[in-house]
Amino acid sequence: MKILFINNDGAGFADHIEIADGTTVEQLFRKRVNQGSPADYLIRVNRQPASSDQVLQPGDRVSFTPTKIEGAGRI
Amino acid sequence: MPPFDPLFWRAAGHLEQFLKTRAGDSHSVTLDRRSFQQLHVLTARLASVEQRDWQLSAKLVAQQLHAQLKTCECQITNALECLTPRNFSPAAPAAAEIYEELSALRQEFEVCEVNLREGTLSVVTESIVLEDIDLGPFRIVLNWKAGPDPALASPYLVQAISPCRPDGHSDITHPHVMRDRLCEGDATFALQQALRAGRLTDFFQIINQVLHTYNSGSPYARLGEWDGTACHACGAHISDDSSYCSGCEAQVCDDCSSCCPHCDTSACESCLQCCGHCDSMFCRECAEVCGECERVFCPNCLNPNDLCPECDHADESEELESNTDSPPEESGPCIAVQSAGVGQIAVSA
Repeated sequence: MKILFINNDGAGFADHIEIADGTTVEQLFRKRVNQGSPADYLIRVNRQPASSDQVLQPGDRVSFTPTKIEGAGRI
Repeated sequence: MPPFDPLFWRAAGHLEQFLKTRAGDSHSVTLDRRSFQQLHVLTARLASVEQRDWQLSAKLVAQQLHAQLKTCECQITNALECLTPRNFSPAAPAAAEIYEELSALRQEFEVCEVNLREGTLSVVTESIVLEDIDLGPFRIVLNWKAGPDPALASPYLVQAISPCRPDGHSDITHPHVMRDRLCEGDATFALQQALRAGRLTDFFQIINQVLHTYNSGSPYARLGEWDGTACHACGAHISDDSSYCSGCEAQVCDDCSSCCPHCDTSACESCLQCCGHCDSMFCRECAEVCGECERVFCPNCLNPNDLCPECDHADESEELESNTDSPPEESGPCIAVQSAGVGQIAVSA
């Protein structure tokens, strides 16, 4: 099945991706995020907070936003 | 489902027009030339301070270089992402979709307001606390009536509601906010993408997360400056009664200072000396210089003749060698036994 996946870590692109039926939020996280824990991200499914065991549905819109993003200052 | 909000619906219409002007080619690669030039500057500066053995400066410059390398790494990663073929090209969102974003935004932030007259959408963050320093809540204001060149103009402000400023910086309200402008750092590309795609919830949340993060490698002002006292060595926040270095009189934190074992005074790492023999650290006042090799030693490692153990040993060896190689001298500290006839004077008959 297809979902819209938005990774706000890095360039913040959105992609339609293919995932297996029954995939949970946590399984998607492990597959798409190289390092870190789900606790370090704001995870939203269809703009709503989601639990790690939530099973994704076709057409879902999933976004991962890291809770720590470094700003800058002087160059 | 929340009840229909006509104000949000009207705002969605305005935002639809605004976002249409910002939805462009998402495959354009942008690299900040200044960031890469700065790498050369910092590399040269690090080599220079290391050559002079300015350890504190070297530590600070190394931190800045590390942060700059990360910035450039982020830009390269994002540029590679931009060039990756994608199967989803975000179009400017329709008003209905923007309305959904606004509804979600109201769930993410306690305060979410629209001002049609001023053309603004704003949220208020919770109080931002970084390393025990309470900077207060911030209002993030997206202005859909932003300037004529939206690609260049930053369409949002980050305003401190109860400004808490570092000493001597009236225009800084957060380590990464100056004159109500956020220096986006690692969030730059994600913010651009979120706005292009009309993902307003992501846009405000990304800014919120940047405000909740302290990048000590590249702030407008270090957190230690917020109440006027920062460790001179590492920049950490320290209390007013922290120790002063007896050598340079700078105020330093406990991690960056040590106590001289010979006189009990406190000194920063730069002002402490390392004994050339026992490796103990001691202050400049207690430093002793070997009369032979002129290296610095602690008072315990020099003998009464002001010689370090090595030079003392070398002296003893030389003396021993000279005693075995050359015939005994007639005069010296030892008592000489005279041979028969020595000391007698021949008297002519």
